[in-house]
Amino acid sequence: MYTGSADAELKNSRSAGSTDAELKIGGKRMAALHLTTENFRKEVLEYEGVAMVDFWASWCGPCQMVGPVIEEIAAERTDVKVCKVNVDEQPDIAGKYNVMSIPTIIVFKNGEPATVSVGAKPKAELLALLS
Amino acid sequence: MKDVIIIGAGTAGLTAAIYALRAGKSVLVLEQGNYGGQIINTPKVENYPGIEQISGYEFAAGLYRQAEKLGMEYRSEKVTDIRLEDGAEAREELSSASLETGNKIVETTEQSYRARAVILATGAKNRPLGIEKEAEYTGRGISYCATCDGMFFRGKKVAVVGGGNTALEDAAFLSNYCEKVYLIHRREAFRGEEKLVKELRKKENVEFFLNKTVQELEGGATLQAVVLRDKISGEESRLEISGLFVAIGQMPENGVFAGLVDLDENGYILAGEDCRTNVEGIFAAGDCRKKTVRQLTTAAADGAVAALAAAQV
Repeated sequence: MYTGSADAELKNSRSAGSTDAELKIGGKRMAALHLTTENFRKEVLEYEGVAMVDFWASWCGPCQMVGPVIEEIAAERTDVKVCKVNVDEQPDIAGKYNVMSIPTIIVFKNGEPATVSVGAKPKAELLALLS
Repeated sequence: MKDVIIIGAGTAGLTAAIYALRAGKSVLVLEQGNYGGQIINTPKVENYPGIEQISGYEFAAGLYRQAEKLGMEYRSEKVTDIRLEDGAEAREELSSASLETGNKIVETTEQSYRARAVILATGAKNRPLGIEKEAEYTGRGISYCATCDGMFFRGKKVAVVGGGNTALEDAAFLSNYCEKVYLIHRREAFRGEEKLVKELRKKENVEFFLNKTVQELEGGATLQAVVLRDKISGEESRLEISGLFVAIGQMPENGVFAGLVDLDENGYILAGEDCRTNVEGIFAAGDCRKKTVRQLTTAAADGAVAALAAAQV
């Protein structure tokens, strides 16, 4: 039986993080930005524009499904700042936005949460959150 | 024109794809969500023969890679209708002298496809309570997966609804992290194993609420309380909780096929162990089929059986 988030064995399994993506546009690598309590204010709250934030964890299967799609969006949609928050490492950010299920994707517009999507959704639905 | 169209990319659908491709058939897999099916919610799979332990995600990703390498065509599209091609359509598409009959037309939200055979592998999903505000609070206090979301309720009061093994296991799991776990069940007796019930009764932070149903959900931005109704006295009571874990079983989603294939009273497709439906050339595999055991192994077995039969159509 699964014994909680501190399960090192599972944490060592395939990560949905940006290490998987080697996507480059015009020679510049466009990968999702990993957020911490240190950079969250500057990168999201003070950002004038659209930011898409994926709350995830390494042990979460549906998050691993969504991870590569988030990276694709990061590479394709240069008009959107695509970010990831690891809820195990950044529980304060997850708590502040009432994240109680992952993956949760929140789209911020000019620093304000505009749309919230819970669960693993296919790419078309994630892109629709941006429109 | 495809030899086989498979609807659903869970364990049954992807196994069917592997078998049909290895039989030399062209295969299109249509999936409305993400591939993998229900198993991706399972952190550890320990009952698949030959694999001691694997995460549900790794298992699903392995199935997908295997089918992809064999030449699977995969599209993220929702199927809206399946029908049998009529004579006029068949003649229109006719390119050789022989008129093929019995082709299937699969319509999706994007386009339509033709195939010799169709395998329905649409699976099942968690059954919702079916009460007001349930969708609104999903991910805001309501969860259908304790092992996925339990950690967000560490040190809090939660409730589990259900009377089967999943509900009992969820309550046991959550009792390790949560301040209090209320187990709400609409009957006196549990459907799940007696051993699990006994273990739960020993836990100090688990409290049973029997013969009760969840009537209402209350809260603001997140869930804060539920209103329960006692089935015997009719009395209502309020229970303050941060999380409500719903474990009342699965349900199929075969409504779109109801006009074509026979379903049972619960919506599962009527097909035997040979996976054949009442319509020639249409098969049902995995959890969407009426069956007694729903496991990874039986889903995979159905996929193989359906694909090898479909390859003969």
